[in-house]
This record gives sequence, structure tokens and C-alpha cells, in this order.
Amino acid sequence: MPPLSSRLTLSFGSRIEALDLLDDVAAVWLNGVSAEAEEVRCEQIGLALREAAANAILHGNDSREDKKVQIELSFRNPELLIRVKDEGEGFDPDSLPDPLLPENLMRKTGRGILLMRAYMNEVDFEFDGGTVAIMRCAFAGEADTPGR
Amino acid sequence: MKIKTRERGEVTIIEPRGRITIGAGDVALRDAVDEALEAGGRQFLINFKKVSRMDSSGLGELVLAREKVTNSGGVIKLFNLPRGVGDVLEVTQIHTVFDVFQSEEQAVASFH
Repeated sequence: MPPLSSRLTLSFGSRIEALDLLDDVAAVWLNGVSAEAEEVRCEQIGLALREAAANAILHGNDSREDKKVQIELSFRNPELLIRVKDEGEGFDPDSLPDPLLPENLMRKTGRGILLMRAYMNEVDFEFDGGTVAIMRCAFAGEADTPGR
Repeated sequence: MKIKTRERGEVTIIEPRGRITIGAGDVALRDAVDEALEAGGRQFLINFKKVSRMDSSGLGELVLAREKVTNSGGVIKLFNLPRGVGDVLEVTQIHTVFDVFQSEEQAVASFH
């Protein structure tokens, strides 16, 4: 049986190398909190988290190790909430080019937020002393898989 | 992430293992494609069977690889996509710019 609620918080300096460790820690936590969820669903949520954290490191904190990325994963059955906060100056998510337009399909970058939105039910951004990416999804098994 | 490259006739098969993600795996894939192009290959396959994760940076390298190979007069195709990787390609529509095959036999045969 999965727990009724669980919370994981992490904070690290802005180094890309931290993302693999984040991947591994999040995978263990996600598998632990929802015994019903299939492996691919955990991978999708882990990828959304990884993309948000990569954006925080690269774009929010300019890869400055003295600037922190703060992660919070919170599960209250059946909802999963992920918050990824950086120390950047914010951005306008509506100004980003649509990576699915034919003219953008061969661009090297710009697909991170698309993947976050594909694999989570809700993705919002708040700006409060940094950017906070807030992602939510139901996490009770494959019947709730969004984005397909 | 480790990458092995082997030849099967005229076809160069690139076999990444692990994560094709920002900071390491994406660079390794770029290097492997560059080396294969420098070695004179023009028909390429990437075997994804042992790829555990691909992120947006990995996708960017895949698109870049296609551009480089095409500009060199070559062709690059994909096979053995695990469900998670195939799903990422589909969500981002990258699968529309590649020929994707289920098996190595099908992929190699497609060059003849």
C-alpha cells in the first residue's frame, strides 16, 4: 500500500551534474509513494522534474554554483505536487516559441517546458524572489496518465 | 553513458547505453556521430535498446545529428526505441523527421 502522504525536499548548487542524482533520488521516492503506478509513468514524471531543474540551473541561475535550486515533491493521495525554485529574475512562458511548429521542429533547444506540460496535468510558473515551476498530476496509476 | 560503434556492411550502427541527457550523454552522442562521419560513414543507425532516459538536450543532439548527417549527404535512422524514449520522440514530434524501425534487421534492410 502506498502512503497517504509523503514529502521530499532537496536543495543543491546549480551544477548540471546534480541532475543525475536528482533523477535517481526522485525515482526511488516516486516508486515508493505510489505502488500502483507503472514504471513508465514514474519515468515521465521524473523527466518533467529533470527538465524543470535543468531550466532552473541553466536559465534561472545561469549555472552559478552559489545559486541554489530548491526542489519539493509532495504526495497527498492521489495528487503529486512538484515545486522547483531558482534564484533567477523570471521569464515570460508565453513568449517562448512553440517547438511543435514546423519551422521550430529542427531547433536544438526549447522542448523542456513542452515535456513538462506533456507529462504533468498542470504546469504553472510563479515569480517570487526567483522562478517557481509548479507542476501537479494525479498519481494513482496508469489510468491517470495525462498528455496522451 | 557509454557508446559503442560497429559496422554492418556499409551501415554504421551507434549503440548508446544509459542516459542521453544534458551534460554528458548528449555530448557523447555528438562525439560518436562526429567520429563516424569523419570515418567516412554515410549510412547510420542508432540502436536505442539500452538507452534508459532521453531529455530535451538529448533530443537536441539527435536533431543536430540528423542535420549534420544530411548535410554530409548521408542518412540516419533509429531502431529499438524503448517505450519511454519513443514516447518522448512522439510528444515532441521528433519521430516525424526520422525513419524509426522496431528491429536491426528491418533498419539495415531499409538501406537496400
